[in-house]
Amino acid sequence: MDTTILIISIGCYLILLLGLGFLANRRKKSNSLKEFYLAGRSLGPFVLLFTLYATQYSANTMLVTPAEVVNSGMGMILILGYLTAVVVFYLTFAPQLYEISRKFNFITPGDWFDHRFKLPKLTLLANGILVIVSINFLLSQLMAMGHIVNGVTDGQVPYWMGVVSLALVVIVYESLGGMRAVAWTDVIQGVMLFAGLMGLFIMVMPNTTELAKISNWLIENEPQKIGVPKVGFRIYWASLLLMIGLGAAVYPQAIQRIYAAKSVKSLRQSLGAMVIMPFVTVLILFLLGMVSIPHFMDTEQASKDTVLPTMLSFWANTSTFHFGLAVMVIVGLIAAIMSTADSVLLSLSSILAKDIFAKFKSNKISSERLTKIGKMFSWGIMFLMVLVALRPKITLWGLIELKMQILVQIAPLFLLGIYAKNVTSRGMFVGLCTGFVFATATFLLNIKTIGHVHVGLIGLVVNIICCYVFSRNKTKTKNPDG
Amino acid sequence: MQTKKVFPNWVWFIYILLFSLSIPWYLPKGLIMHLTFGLPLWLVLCIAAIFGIVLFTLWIIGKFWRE
Repeated sequence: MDTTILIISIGCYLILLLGLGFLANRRKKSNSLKEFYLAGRSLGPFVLLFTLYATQYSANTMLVTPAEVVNSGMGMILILGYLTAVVVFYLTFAPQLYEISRKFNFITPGDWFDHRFKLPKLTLLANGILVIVSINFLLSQLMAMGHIVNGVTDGQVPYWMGVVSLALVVIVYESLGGMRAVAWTDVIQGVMLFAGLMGLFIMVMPNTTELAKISNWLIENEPQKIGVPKVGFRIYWASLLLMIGLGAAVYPQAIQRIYAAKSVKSLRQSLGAMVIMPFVTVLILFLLGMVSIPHFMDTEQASKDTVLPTMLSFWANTSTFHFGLAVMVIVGLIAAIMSTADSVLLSLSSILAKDIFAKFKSNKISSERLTKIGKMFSWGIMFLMVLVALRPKITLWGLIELKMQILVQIAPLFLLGIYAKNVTSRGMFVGLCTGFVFATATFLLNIKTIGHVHVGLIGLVVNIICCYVFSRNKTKTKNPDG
Repeated sequence: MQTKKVFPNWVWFIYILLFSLSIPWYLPKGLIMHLTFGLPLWLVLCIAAIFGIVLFTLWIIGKFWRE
């Protein structure tokens, strides 16, 4: 593959993102928290859809899906199921949360916790969990930036340069325009990601005869990859569907996008379109994985970052048209990483500035000052995370696995908070503590599943039981919204 | 302010049913069955169930979620 053209394309794309950051800066009406972190609650359906899409689908989805199909077989269609479940779980609480957030001017997820439970230590614990999860998530995106850029340019751009340059672009456009810049760049990134996938589809474009050929090959050589999965795997499938469906729906950056919607209509239309996205995204990646199987016949285990780059390199060398499509896919892949990183960073800085820093200060801080403090937090976090990402020996990849199993413990604060009127703040606090300790302890003991069920999900059940048990016979904190 | 339910309770039962159908509980392990569109039938049924979830979601959003 001609890496010079590729590097120029990536460079042009980065300049475009910076330009959007400047434009968003000129469009801002004030320096308030609402303006910086929620784009003045002005996101229409189109921007909201793409910012949700680009934020939700990270490089992991792009890289892991085909690799898992190659490694584990057809059962990995479960990815399509759990990404659809995320949107269904949004529907369980987003309409109500949106309505309340408008009424009480919420900026962060912590505003909901305070409003519903009025227990500072509960808000602090929940925010602490969100911070841990977000830091892990951000770090994984930064490391992915370095690996992808280094990989696709055949080592011409070193790992450190990939991390530093992309991180710098993200922090600059985010500081300039806050959520507006992030959402606008997400539109570009979402479009690039989508165009890249379409490019992939054109390259893959398997017809039923080719698919049948691969299926027959699997039947003869690796029947376990094409047959109905074992019962244990099906339990694992259902457990993953619930855990990721619930966990990903309560990502702080996703919650803030619900707050940032311009109207109910915008939110409704964007979520309606979001439910279609797993089909046009995961199904293409799934088919790509399937047609890649014969290329990895001799490989014991395809590592997660090799399937897509290897196939792109293979197709790019077949014709100029395919080379053009491969460039689109690679830029889409970088877009997927950057769009997730910028949203996580923005959300993280809002939690640190507004929900943690401001609460420890006895004097009241103005909204404008908090926005400035939030920006300083963004630069500080990015600097630290880049340092960690640059030292591969200090790898936190393992901690990323912890992400979803502790994040899902936050889900009851939204679901039970909205629906269960008899759940008290004390019950919720005990439940969250128990779920968090359970998820962390099992992670440290390296226990991922018990009886094929994810420990995060078992922790969630324990969390909910404790929540109800400790809510009984106590003074009830009634849901202020009825 | 009162927040009322947007979707009726039966909607969630339909979701449980559709998500359950998206996992091939009802088939014995290792079964491949014949190929449909070049894919094993059980896989096509899983994809069809998820497509059902997509259509159902679009329908309930249009019908129940009003301003």
